[in-house]
Amino acid sequence: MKKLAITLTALTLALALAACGSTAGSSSSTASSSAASSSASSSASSSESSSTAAVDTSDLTAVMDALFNGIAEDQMPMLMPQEDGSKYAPLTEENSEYNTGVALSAYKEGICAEAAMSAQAHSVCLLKANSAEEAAKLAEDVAANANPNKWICVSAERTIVAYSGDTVLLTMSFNDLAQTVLDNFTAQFGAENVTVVKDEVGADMAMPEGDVTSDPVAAMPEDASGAL
Amino acid sequence: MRCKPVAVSCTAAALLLAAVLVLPLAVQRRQPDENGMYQQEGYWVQYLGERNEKSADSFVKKVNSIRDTLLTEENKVYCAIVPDKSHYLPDEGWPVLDYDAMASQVQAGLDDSITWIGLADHLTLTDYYKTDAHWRQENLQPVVNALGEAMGFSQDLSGWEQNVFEGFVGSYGKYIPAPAEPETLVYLTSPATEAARVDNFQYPDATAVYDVSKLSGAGSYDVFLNGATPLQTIENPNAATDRELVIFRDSFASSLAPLLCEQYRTITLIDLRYMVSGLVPQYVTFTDQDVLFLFSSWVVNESAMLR
Repeated sequence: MKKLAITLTALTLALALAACGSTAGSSSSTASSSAASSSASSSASSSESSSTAAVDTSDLTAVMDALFNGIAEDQMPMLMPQEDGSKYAPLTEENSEYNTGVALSAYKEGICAEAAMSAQAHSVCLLKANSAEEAAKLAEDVAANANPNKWICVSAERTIVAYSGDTVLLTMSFNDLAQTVLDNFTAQFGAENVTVVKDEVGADMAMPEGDVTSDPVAAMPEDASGAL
Repeated sequence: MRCKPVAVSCTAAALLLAAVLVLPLAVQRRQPDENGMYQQEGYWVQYLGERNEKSADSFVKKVNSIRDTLLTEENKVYCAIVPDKSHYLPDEGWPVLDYDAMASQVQAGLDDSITWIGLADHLTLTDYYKTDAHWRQENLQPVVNALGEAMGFSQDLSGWEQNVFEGFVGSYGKYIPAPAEPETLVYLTSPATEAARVDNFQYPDATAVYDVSKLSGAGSYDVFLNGATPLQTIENPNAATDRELVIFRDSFASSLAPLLCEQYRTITLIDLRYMVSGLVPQYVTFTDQDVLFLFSSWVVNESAMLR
């Protein structure tokens, strides 16, 4: 009898652990700001409106492209194409900790989209974890270490860290733009598959004067080249 | 009976050895708070982290690369690093970034065509704000002298008007546990600064050297050239020469550049934290300008922020 009780208990525990460790994950939010509740509800509504992901979610560039869906061109900070023609800057050993708070060795690969010429805090990074099992830990580390004040003189309004499968999203940007990025991330992966581990409004909310989301430069110079 | 002196000697030696081992611990290593902040001699300091040699090396490579690929042989190129105020505080156990080692590393790595300008000997603790990272503009005569000696100009600031704002609480104010005591912020004006016109990429309407509307709250340092912007140019119709200056910079140059309005017809300020260096040729044509790389030790220690 005693052995049977122990066996049943162990089986119950095993089943419970298997459920918690499911790669489907959950859509629970552990955010600390009131923005979190609105992001969760809008994430749900986004996923309802696009149940099938048209984006190859294994391709970080494709995922990044889709993060900016629905953002008007004049609201989107101008990006700088790289020397090799790629759209987004790769995360490297040199820039990874500055951009994400974690070393490159902590994940497989990553890309970053930042304004090419603007003093307004805006940064969106996508990281591919070494595995789906490691994504949660990676997201937690990014959430703990990414610095919304990294530019020193300007600070991001809102910081969001989320993950789905092996893909981790870090956005540090304007409140509305960060929300749109999260909504689009959720739309790609499905609300039930996205976990938001951080959704925080910056304490330093000094906003630049004027229209903060418009970019003074309407188009990239034709012969622009990559960073030196 | 001979054992007694030996025993006393051994005991004394042991005590001495113990004192030598323990004494360094008497200057206990202290830890800043969760924001990296601590206060010493009334000055708030933000710990910049351990010296990052790789970052300084990357900084040097960035400077040398810009020199090689953007500038001409006619550009006269200079480099200076602003020490953090912690450099001037006595050792009381707080962690401090080793500015001397950083400066030596950078100076040693710069291309031979770049002139190093040492600033450490031309500043003291009182030349910095207590509640902010930046230096005080009204105290920069020695720095201006050092730059002038290297770059070939002489600027006397003694006749400039001192405009005093009494309610300045710097950027560290949000980290200070108790309400910070306001300090004075002084900005210097002359006929040259008043005649100067600024072309600001980020804020096209900000055409004055000093934006006095910023003189309130934690953003008051933005009175100097309107704060963060990737690119701006100061046109100085009252300059004594037709010389031109380009400064690759961080925010410390915002309060320095106005002091050079009498010396340069145009002063272009480029902040590579907010502007990808590949775009610079689209906006600046390099000919024979003086080019100054002026950065704080914070930026050199986190040079990945330079794009």
